[in-house]
Order: sequence, then structure tokens, then C-alpha cells
Amino acid sequence: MDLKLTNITQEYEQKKILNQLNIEIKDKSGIAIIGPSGAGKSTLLRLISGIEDPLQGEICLNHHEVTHEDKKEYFKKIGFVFQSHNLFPHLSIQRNITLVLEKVHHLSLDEANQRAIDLLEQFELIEHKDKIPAKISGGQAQRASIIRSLAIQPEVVFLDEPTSALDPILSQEVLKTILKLRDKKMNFMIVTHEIEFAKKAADYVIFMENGNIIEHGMIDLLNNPQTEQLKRFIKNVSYDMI
Amino acid sequence: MKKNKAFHLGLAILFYGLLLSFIILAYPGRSNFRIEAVFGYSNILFKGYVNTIIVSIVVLILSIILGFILYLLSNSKILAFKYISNIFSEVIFGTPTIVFLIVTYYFIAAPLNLSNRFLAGIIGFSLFMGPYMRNAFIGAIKSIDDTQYQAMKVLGFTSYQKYRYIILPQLVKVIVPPMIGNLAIIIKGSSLLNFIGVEELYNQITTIQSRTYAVVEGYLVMFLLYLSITLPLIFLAKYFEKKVTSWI
Repeated sequence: MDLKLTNITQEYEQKKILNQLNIEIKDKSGIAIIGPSGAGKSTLLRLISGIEDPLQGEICLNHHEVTHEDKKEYFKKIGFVFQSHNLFPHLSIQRNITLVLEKVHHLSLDEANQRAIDLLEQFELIEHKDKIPAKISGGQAQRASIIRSLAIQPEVVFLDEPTSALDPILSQEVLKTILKLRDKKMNFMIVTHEIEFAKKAADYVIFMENGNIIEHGMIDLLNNPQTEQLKRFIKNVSYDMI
Repeated sequence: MKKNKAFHLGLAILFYGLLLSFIILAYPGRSNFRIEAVFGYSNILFKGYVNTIIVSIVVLILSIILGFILYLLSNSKILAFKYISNIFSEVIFGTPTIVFLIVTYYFIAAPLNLSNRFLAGIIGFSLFMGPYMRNAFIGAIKSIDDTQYQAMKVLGFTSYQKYRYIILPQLVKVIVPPMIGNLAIIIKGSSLLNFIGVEELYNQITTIQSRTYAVVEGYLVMFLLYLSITLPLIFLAKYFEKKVTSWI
């Protein structure tokens, strides 16, 4: 995937969240955005995914001019996984996946069901296909939500701290699912606190602090940080893990 | 567990059976009890029963419409609309039903030359129930959290699809129990329409009482007939509540 940000600025209630971000990344399949809380990571992800519009600046993802593109069409080409699973509570896991395929992407119900079943089998959730989200664990629901985002065969999947609402054991099962995205050569962009996971899953990393991009580069950067801020962040996160 | 439940239900029924037997035995006018006198006027009784059901259903429908309009107003970006809805609702919540019905009859229906008491009663009672319905809508819409709207947006659903497949199916299930609760309030409250001369169940039984002097018997029949309408509704509401809570 290619990504180009030009002068991206975002404010909420006159408070600057992102401060004139510029970056150009070419031909990477897994991008991890890391940084302390309040750095603006999730905001950046929401801007690139088109959920929010920036106050100023241009975003270009692959051939999409995100800031100018028809959002309805753009959303058909991307997947988004939220911090909480955001599955529809009245629908079964399978219907959560097929509804969007049938109604938005105009697959026949048979095709949609087949695609959902294939994915549920691959991601080992097939036994839960008829359950509503409240009847499965948080980790399983988050995995189902990842499958829902994959089912539309998106160009890029965005994951906004997908394990932040889960305990460590459930987090592991979700992280394993995300590693499968890498194995399938899916393009994805993830906001995460899990440095070790980022090293395994992504090939490029963006480190942010206070609304600025402090450092970015190939994932090996995490083993060889250049700035004091990134060194401090990695150290703090390592302490957290102890 | 099931056996235990049946046993305790049996105990409760036994308790009420004993209580009822005591009440009947202790009732001083037992020797002169003439419940058949009330049923002698079954045509009047039937008319009152049917009218109560008709009034209740029409008031239910009109108050749902009014409640939805009040909900839209209270959600409006135009502050004046919000105030209009809120002030009306607060006035209603602070007014006893009977006072509101009489006031609307004399100050709204009469100036409009609305001589049909049945219609005047329906309008007044619908106005009274509107804010309660508004609250049912507010509660139901709140049950769909923001994260779902975000998911709908990013999945690319059109507005029609959002309502048809995601919002409305959830709303219907969440809104049914408070709506049935409100219907029970309407059925019970419809007895107050007697005060403006609407020929509903309460009114018709008082007519029978005045003809037969079977006053106590009339109230007993009234008690049982109101329960025959409201109890099935309460069970229905409980059934839906159970369905809804299984999601949470």
C-alpha cells in the first residue's frame, strides 16, 4: 500500500490533535502506528480511513484521494476494526458478515453465506456462526469483527487498538488472527500498544507523540530507535510489560 | 429448578386463594350478593368493554404518533422546538390525568365546538400520553450506542438500509415492553374518561349499578374485566423484556 499525508491537521474544540503531518510511504503491506495515549494515533487512523475529515491537508491512500473521494464508494473498499467489536447485537455472527455483503456489495445471499462460512472456518469461528454477539467471548467477537471487515475483500484493513478492550489471554487470540492477515498478504494499518506484536506483524512503523510524527521507518526501527522520545516510549512500554 | 418454581407458584396461588376465601367469608353483605344482576345488563356491559378497548387502541396509536413527533422535536437542532417538546412534557408529567382530561375538555374541545365526548376524550387522553411515549422513544434510541452508528457508516450502508436492517429491528424489540406498559396505563386511565361522560367500561358499570343497586358487585365485575385486558398485556411485556435482555 502507498500512503501520502500532506499537512494533515485536526482539531477538536479548538484543541490541536494533529499538527501538520507529512509522510510518504510506498509499497508497504503492514503499517503499525504506535505512541503514548493522546498522541493522535487513532485520530490519524480515522482520518486515513475516511471516518473523519481533517481540518486541513490531503490524504492519499493508494490511488484514493481520501479527502475528496465519495466516502460511500471509499468505504466499500476498506475494512475497519474498532476498539470494541461493534457487531450488531440483534444479528447472528454469520448474518453480521453476510448483511453487508448482500446489501452493500450486492452478492447473492448464497454467495454471501458461502464467503462467510469459508472465512469463519479459516478463522476457527464456524461453531459460533449462529450465535448472537452477546453469547460469545470478547475475543471471539473481535475476531468476528475482523472477519466482517475482511469479507468485503478490502484493499486495506484498519485496526484501531483492537485488543484494548480485552484481557491478555483474549488479546493473544485476536493478535494471532491479525498475524494471519500478514500471512495472507493483506494490506493493513494498525494502532497498537503492543510493541512486540508490531515487530512481528508490521513491516513499517510510525511513532507519534503529542500530535506529531516523531519517527517513522522500517519495523527494525523499534530495535534501533533514533530519537529520545521513541527510546523513552519503548523503555516505558517494556516496564509496563514487567 | 423448574419443579421448585412450580412449587412456589403453587404456594403463591394457595396464599391468594385463602385470602380471597377470607374476604368472601368476611364480607358482611354476602347473603345479599347479586352478581347476576350486573350480568343482566350484558349489552351495556359489552358496549362499555368494547368502547374501553377501542378508546385504548386509538389513544395508543395517536399517542405513539404524537410521542414520535415530540421525540423528533426534542432532538431538533432548533432550540425552540426542543423547548416546545420539553415544556409540554414537563407540564403533562406534573398534572394528574383527570385534571388534564377535564381541562382539555372544557378549554380545548368546548371552544372548538367538539360536542362528541368520545372524540374529545380520545384527543385529550392522547395528548396526555404523548410525552410518556416520547420517553419510550428516547429510551429505545439510546439503546443503540454510537459505536453501532460508526460501524454502519464505515460498512457503507445507505440511510434506508441502516434503518431497515439495523436500527428498526432493534428499536421494535426494545420499544415494545415500555409501549405495552403505556397501553396498560391507557386502559386503566381510560376509566377517568367517565368524568367527561364517555361511555366506557367504568361509565357503563356505574349505569348498571344505578339501575340494579348492585354497587359492590359492579365494582367486582369492573375489577375482573379490567384485569382481563391488562394481565395478558403484562405477560406479553414480560415475554418481550426477556427476549430483549438476552442480548445484553
